[in-house]
Amino acid sequence: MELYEKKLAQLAKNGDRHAFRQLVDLYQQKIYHLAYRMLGNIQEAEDVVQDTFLRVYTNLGKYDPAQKFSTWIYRIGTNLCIDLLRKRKRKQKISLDANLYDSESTDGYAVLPSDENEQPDHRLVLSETKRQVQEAVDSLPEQYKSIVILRYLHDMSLQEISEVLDMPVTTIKTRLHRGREYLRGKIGSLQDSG
Amino acid sequence: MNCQEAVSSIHEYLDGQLDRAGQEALERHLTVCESCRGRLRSLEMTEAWVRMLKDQDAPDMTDRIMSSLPAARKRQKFARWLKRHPALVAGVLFIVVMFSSFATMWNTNEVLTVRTNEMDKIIVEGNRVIVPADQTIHGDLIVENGEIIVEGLVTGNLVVIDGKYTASSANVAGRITLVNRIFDWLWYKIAGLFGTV
Repeated sequence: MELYEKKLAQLAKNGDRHAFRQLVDLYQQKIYHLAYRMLGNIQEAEDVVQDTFLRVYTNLGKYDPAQKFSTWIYRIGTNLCIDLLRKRKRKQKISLDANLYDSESTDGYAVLPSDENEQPDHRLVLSETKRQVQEAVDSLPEQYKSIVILRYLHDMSLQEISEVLDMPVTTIKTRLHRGREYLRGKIGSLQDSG
Repeated sequence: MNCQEAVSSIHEYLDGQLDRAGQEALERHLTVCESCRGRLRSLEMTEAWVRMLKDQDAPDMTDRIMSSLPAARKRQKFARWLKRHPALVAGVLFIVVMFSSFATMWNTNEVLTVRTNEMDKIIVEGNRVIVPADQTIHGDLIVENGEIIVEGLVTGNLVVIDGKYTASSANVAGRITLVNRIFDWLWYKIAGLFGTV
């Protein structure tokens, strides 16, 4: 499969749109799932999928065939997600500061602004337990979140994760262990209410 | 093995990276340590919960993605072809440059050109060049793109390029050369390099 994908990438590099379409078919679901878990809502997940493929397309000239295609596309997608998460944090921080100085917010409960499109969309999650698990994963800092998602939802090895995130394996390990402990604290004792 | 080491081993184990010896050591610790046993259990459950988040449904975005791509890159395709055949491109460019410089040299001249050391003796009417009957040109006379009429004398050679002449061996002491084709002209120029026409 790896060789096949590299071949497709090579063809797409030379202008073969049909080959590129096949790559889209192979990876759109995976990138969607990655983005949805990272960002928590459909709209942003779809945007990331589209942006990821657009970047892949325009940067095919830079794709190094020595690397797995999956590593490359996952890296692009993950970085897009991490950027969005950071932007979200910054926006929240700015709005928070604004609220503090806003004399109109009187009840003391106004904390974070809610922008429907950008907050995690939990209504679609079926069970309460799943929702709690999702929330716990959501609350992880970006770098820990991406490692957890790539490991458990995309079955990547530590080596692959280190290539996608461009970080040493030792760092990946440390963060994965810490992420696990953190999640254990949040959900380790949940009973499935079915 | 103490509990701190055990926790570390547990994580290695969950990573799938604990070797045989390490597994045995961990097992020995776990048989006597309930707290670490509990920890392993809850970590394994945590992993199971997280894996449960795997989605089945994703929208089919293929068409949307394909139509968002920039338009067909014909120009880029050509540019890439050029990059991949540098020797060929260089060769073609060389030939093009050489021929165009020949062509410019060749074409510079729809213009009447007269070359002689004694321009003051020459009469020019339109594109007709005349050596008057009472004049003697010492040296060579070269006329391009025009008609030359020698009524007087030329002591050197007469070269007529892309034109016509009215002269005879009575008027011209040297040779009369008519150049009409580009290859003749080329030969003329090359021969000129060696000092003979």
